[in-house]
Amino acid sequence: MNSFAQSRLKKLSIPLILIIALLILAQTFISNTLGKYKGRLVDYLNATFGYRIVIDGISFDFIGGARLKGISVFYNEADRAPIFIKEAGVYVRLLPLICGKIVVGRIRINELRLLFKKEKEGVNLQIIYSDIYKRILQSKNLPLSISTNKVVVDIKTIKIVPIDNPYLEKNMLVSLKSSRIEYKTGKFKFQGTIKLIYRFLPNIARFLNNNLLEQGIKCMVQGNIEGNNLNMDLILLSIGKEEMLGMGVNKNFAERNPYLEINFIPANISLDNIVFLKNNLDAQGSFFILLKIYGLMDSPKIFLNALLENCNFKYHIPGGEIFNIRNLMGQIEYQSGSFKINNAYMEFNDSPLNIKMQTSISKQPDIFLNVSLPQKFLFSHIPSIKQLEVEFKGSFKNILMGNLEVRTLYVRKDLNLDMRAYFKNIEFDYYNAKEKYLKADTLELTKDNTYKIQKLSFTNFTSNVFLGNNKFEIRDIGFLGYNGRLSGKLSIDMADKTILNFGLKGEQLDVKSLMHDINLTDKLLGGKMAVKITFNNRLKEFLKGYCYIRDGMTDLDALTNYVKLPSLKDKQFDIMHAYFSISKDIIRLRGLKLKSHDIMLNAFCDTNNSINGVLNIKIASELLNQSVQFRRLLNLARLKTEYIDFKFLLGGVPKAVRFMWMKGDFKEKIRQKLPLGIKEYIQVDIDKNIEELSTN
Amino acid sequence: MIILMTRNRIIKISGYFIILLIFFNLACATIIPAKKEYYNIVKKNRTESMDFAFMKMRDFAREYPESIYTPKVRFAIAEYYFQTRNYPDAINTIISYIADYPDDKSTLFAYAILYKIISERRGNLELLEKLKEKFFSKPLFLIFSEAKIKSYNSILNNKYKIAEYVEKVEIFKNNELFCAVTP
Repeated sequence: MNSFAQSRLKKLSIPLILIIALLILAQTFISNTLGKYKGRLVDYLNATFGYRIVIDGISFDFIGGARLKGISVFYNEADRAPIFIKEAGVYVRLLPLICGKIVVGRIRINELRLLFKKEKEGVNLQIIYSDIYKRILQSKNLPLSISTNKVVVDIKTIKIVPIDNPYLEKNMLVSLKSSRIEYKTGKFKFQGTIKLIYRFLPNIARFLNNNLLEQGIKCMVQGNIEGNNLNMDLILLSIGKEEMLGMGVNKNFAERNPYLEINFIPANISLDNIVFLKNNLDAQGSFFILLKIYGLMDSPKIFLNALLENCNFKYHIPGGEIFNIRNLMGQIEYQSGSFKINNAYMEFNDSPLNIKMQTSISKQPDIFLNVSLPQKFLFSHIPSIKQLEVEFKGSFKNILMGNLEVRTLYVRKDLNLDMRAYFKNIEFDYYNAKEKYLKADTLELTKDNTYKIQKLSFTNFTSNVFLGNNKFEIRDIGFLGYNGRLSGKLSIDMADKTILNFGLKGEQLDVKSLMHDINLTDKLLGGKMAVKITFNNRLKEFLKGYCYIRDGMTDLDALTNYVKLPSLKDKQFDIMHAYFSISKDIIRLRGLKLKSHDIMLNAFCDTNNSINGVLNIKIASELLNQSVQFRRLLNLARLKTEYIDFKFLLGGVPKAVRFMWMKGDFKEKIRQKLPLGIKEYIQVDIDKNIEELSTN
Repeated sequence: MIILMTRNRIIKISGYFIILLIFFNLACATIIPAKKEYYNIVKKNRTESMDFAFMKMRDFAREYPESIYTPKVRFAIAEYYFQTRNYPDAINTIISYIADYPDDKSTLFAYAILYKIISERRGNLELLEKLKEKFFSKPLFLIFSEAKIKSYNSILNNKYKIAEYVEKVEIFKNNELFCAVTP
């Protein structure tokens, strides 16, 4: 540096130092003055805005303007200020200030904390805003008026905390990052990033990998103020790479409880952008969303309608198992706290399911769930079952509580069999990793075949549910009824082709009360029954079982009436049992046996639409001899055995069985000896009896 | 006095008798022509064309709807339609016939004609199943014979026979198998 330049710098530095010194002096003076008048400023603001305002400190510098620290605006006498600004820099234009007008040009806020609470007249923050806004308008007439005609507000962080609900206050935070509000003569623009953080309740969080819901949405709102309305001409929400466009209006925006209406243009959103779904459910796919927000500001209603298209989810449940949901399609609706899934379809661990669901968003939400197998699937896997659905109505607490109904429509040879199992007051411990117990106070099994209804009632249902990969099992099933106990298990294996397995065993069941409810026959009057039923949809004979009655009582008067025998005095029987099986084509009844003192019965038959079978009856000669006609016949035949065999061929239909007396010693002998007229008379007499019995 | 009372009673009784006589005559006036007309139709069918008999039968059914001969006549009308292959009219006539005379002896044979028409023309399968049920609606107990036989002779000189077996029902017309029904 040469000497000329050095001397010039010296000449310049002196005034520069002087100016800086003056500025520092002025800044110190203004700061001190503002500090000195802080009390007056606070009083002025209190008086102007009508709210208690506390400012911890004021300073001034030429770069940051007036700096206010710890500004609190109190709604009422409460300890906590709903509006708290940690530090704000306010740029007030000097010239208008000299003229007695505060013109705010720019406000920079470091951190703004808003405590959100619903008051009687509306939301506390809106009420404060409404009152201050009106006061600012009125301040035009005051000696020191406030003007905000052109203002830019930069807020680094806004934290909005709901303080109505203690749980939400602790576990939910809505924040806005790097927000900017620009306002110029009626027109405004807002931009920032909204971030929602919500910690799930423990009973829901235990199902999730991450108990925090965190979602960021970039937001831009542009509009204008027109009269009492704040028009939002453009609302742009950016969720990841996707964008949603909307528009709306805030009617009477400066009132305490304005009316809000925002409509978004339907948009396609990829599930990758929904952080919660991505983290917890490995979500893939997209949905077409229609969103509408409307209503008074203190209770806005949200209407959301989304169409899901081929969405895939994976859910890892405790115990290392995975629920694989693929190709989820359907409609989701949210309105007024109620969440609905209408007619959705999905492949759950490769098995197709139709789903309807409704739940409310609350701590212990009510839940309605209807799951059914699609008809197309049933047709190819279990053709005889036309409908299989499970419906649950109840609530979602630490355990699932409510009522559960399983409905099946079984169709065989055009015969509709509507079967229902209704579990009342169930408790299902869905969370327990090792065993999920399923209990119910009562269980009703109903079968309606349009001709008659059979209804069995049981109590104290207990079981354990196991959910495995492609497998669903209910083990250790047990319930009480008809003085006996039933036990069994059910499994659905969906790995390759669906296999539905069901087994039930009952012992010591009281026949009298069981027959009353089962409405099968009124001829079985007593006894103890053991029963076993197995079902496997993959087997040709898909339903098999046996029924075994000991020490029973039966009324065979109908049978004896046919052949004009006297009523059986002794209705007791030692054993009665039957084996049965049902296949697509035929119902087989084997080993139907009844053993009593007077009558021994042995029958077998197959029934489709028709009956084909044989009935062997051994009737005690002692009993036959009590009938005048039979005594004569027995004398004619000269048979002196203890029991007389009668063998019948069975035919016709189950509703009206046909009997034909087949050849036997007894028949042959009397046939040879009886005159023709008598034979005809016997037949006519029996026909008359049948006619009477049929009409009765 | 006694004579007067007896006289009054005689007048009263004879009044009742006259009224009864009038009713009897009126009834006979209806029954006798119907009977006469019925036998006229039977005769006409034997001696003349079946078509003439059919026209007479139609008139009869119209004129004497309450006559004891009317079910037989209406059955014969249905039969005529069936024999002349006028199936739509045959079906309608049989359906109304069955509705009016559900318990008549000939009703089961009317069902048989309807079953024959529908099964041969491969008509309504649901109706066919319902018709099948009619043949197997009551239990049957066969003691010394293999089948229960019922027969019916129609005005059109057809002899029908129904044989109810344990496993089937066979209907014969003029000793030829008309149709067989299994459940």
